[in-house]
Amino acid sequence: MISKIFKNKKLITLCLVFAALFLSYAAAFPGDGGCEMGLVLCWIDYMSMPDMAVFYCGLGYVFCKKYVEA
Amino acid sequence: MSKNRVFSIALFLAMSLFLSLSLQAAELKRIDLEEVLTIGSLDDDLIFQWTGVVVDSDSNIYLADAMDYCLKKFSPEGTLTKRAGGRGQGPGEFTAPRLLDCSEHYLYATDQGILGLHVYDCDLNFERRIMLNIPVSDLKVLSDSRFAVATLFMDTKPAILIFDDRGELVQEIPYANRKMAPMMDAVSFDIDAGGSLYLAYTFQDRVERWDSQGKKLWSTQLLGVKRVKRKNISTYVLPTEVMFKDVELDSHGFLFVLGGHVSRNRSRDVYVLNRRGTLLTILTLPEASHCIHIDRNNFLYSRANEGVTLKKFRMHYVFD
Repeated sequence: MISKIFKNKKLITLCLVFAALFLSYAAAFPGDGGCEMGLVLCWIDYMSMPDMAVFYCGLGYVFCKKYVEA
Repeated sequence: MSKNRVFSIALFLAMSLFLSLSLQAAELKRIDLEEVLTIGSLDDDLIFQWTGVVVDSDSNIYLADAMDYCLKKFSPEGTLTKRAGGRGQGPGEFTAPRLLDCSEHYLYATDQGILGLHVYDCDLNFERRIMLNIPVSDLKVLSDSRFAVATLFMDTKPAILIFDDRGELVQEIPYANRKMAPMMDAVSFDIDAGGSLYLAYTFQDRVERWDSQGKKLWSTQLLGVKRVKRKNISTYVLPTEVMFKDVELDSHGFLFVLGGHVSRNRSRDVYVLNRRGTLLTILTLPEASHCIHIDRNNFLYSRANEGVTLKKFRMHYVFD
């Protein structure tokens, strides 16, 4: 059994890395769709201009909700 | 003025009023759509992903193509006759073209990444840019020298703003007496010849008519939604389901409201109301669309193939 595990060490490591990546991603955007994720990324982009972020990113969110999530 | 003349004028006015109301009074039973034109397909590169559409008085069709960073003009038969723009932030260039509308002589376009409006002539020659210090979420051109916009009001009472052709604010039509939660004030709108404002809320089950002085004339719910779904996104609690995507008036005065995620046929149901806010019928588009446009001849335009195709429909009004 142990030898089997060692045999697939690379594969298991790869799976763990992907799982970790997936979980950290999910934690950042819990249960959110594409538009919600886009909104958060937009806010990060506009962090230095918070007033503009509210408008630009808000507008992008509305557009995404209407256009992409048909 | 003789009594006979006064009587004749009164009779004429009464007849005119009767005739103009007769279309509204006759109950609209349904509207049938007949497809008459298709522009763009999955097999060609005529349109990459259109976002805004408008039709001029000669039935030429203009599209904002977001993925091609330009505006495109098509003949009434659907032939591409002109292309204008390109990727960039210079005069006449786009980063994310969105909304379109036109007056008799000018075409106005918005860009999500650039404040203000791009102004073109009807042959898509770039004229100038009108500077605005607010982003535009909906646009309605009223004349060569007036246009109305909706925006998102995060900290103030929401209103439709009317500007002149230099970008000077000339009128505000408020549509709420208080501030709303973030995004809840997002609307699509149309304005009739008398200045009445018709609003379809993006994230609320509300369609409303307001007069030009900011007095609510009616408000109606079409979807039976009691509670708006919201989600914590960063520091805000934001709505996540779109109730209504667009609103348009036809030349008869019927109001067309495109439903969103909650409609029975998601993003395909179009609710048709009279001017008093009574729901008359629902028509269903063949494919989901993000917007609708109705031209002066009451042809309806909508999206197909996720934005690669524009469809034009003749509307057959069936009355009782």
